Amino acid sequence: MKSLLLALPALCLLTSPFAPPARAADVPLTASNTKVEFVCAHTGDKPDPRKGSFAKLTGTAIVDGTALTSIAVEIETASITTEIDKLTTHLKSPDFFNVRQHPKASFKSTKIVRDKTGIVTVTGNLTLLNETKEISFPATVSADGGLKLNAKFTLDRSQFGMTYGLDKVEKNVSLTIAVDAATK
Amino acid sequence: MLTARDLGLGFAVPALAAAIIVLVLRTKQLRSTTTDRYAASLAIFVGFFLGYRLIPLGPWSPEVDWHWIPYALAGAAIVGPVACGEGLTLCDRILLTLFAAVLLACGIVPTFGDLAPAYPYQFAALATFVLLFALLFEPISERLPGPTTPAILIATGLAAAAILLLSGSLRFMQIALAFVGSLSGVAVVAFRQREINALRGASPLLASLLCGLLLVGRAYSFSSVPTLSYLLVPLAPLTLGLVAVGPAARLSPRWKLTLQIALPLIVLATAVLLGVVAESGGTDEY
Repeated sequence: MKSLLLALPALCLLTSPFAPPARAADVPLTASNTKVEFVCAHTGDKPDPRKGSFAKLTGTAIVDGTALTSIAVEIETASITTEIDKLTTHLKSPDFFNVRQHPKASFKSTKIVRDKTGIVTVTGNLTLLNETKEISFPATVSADGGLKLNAKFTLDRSQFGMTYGLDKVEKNVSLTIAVDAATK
Repeated sequence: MLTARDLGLGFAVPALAAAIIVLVLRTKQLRSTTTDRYAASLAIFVGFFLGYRLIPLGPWSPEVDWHWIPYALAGAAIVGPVACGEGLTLCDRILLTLFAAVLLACGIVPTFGDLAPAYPYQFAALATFVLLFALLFEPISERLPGPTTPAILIATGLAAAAILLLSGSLRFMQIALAFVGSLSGVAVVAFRQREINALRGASPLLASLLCGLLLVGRAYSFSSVPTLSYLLVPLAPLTLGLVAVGPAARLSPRWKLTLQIALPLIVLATAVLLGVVAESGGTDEY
């Protein structure tokens, strides 16, 4: 009874508005809970857009309460896959991802800001081939008991030195990211 | 797949540049034993380099192994004419050609971890292949002057381009096409000047380009094209040796010409066919 009386003030403190904030939680990201897909089209009258994705990636998102505070992902570029085997082989070559020379691509956030409408703008450094560039993209984020993130944006591949065939294949690549992960 | 710009800058310009250089260096005013030795190497290198840079297929400043290809070729383009100069011993020629071969291997053999076979084997194989090709092909081209030998090398370049395309790299295929373009310029002039060895002094350059590009194409490929395909392509022009010095050298001119064309083409067709069979299935167009 005496110990219960002693614990009561501590319990009140924890549940009161002056309680310390909830601890940030790590959300492990893998290919099973994180999809990174891209669509790129040919230039000219017959664009024939082609879809691709990456089968191997690892990373961590940090969720603080209901807010996403950080996200870092590393992709194994050799795990690139499309519906067409010969296209997959071509994308792995030095014409595009040059996966022998650059087996990893990575993204690490530097700033995550939520606006009044609830849309989150994620800013960070994307390293692809030999280039690291700052990119920003809008995302819808829900971080209640895990992390759900959906983002769709375009990326200029030529900014990263992926300059082969700019007269044959569009330089802007549409990227879709979908995360549905539980906390650790 | 290839645009008009690709064919214009990557094939026609190299052909035109190479043809002009050979024609100028072989005019009565400029013709000498020195220009004879340098004409083919200079023409093929300048034509190739124009195609390589105009598209562009690689950067000025090398960042990775295969970016060194044009610079290694510049070395081979100088070594070749020097090595076939008068007054040099066989040992001198071997050492000079070995220098070009090792220079090429130092520059372009990839160093990434999962290279198979491992770096030392690829380095040794490339240097040896280039050395042997260069030393064997130079006397062959001397014994078989005229347009047929350059034409066979054009077919070899086209077969290399096909193998590189099957390997999954349009860029490497275009590099091979720039080579074919510049060779075409030399071959066209050879049709006008049939008594001349149109490829004198160019063997180290030809060996470096063919063997180096195919080695890089294989190293970066994720395709199923067999290693034999990559090996057969640079071996094909060496079959001309059977016509140049073998028993076939005593055949009638008609039969000799038939064999001169048929032998390398059979080897090239086999190489490409093996690649096509390995890569058959699925959609060709994407």
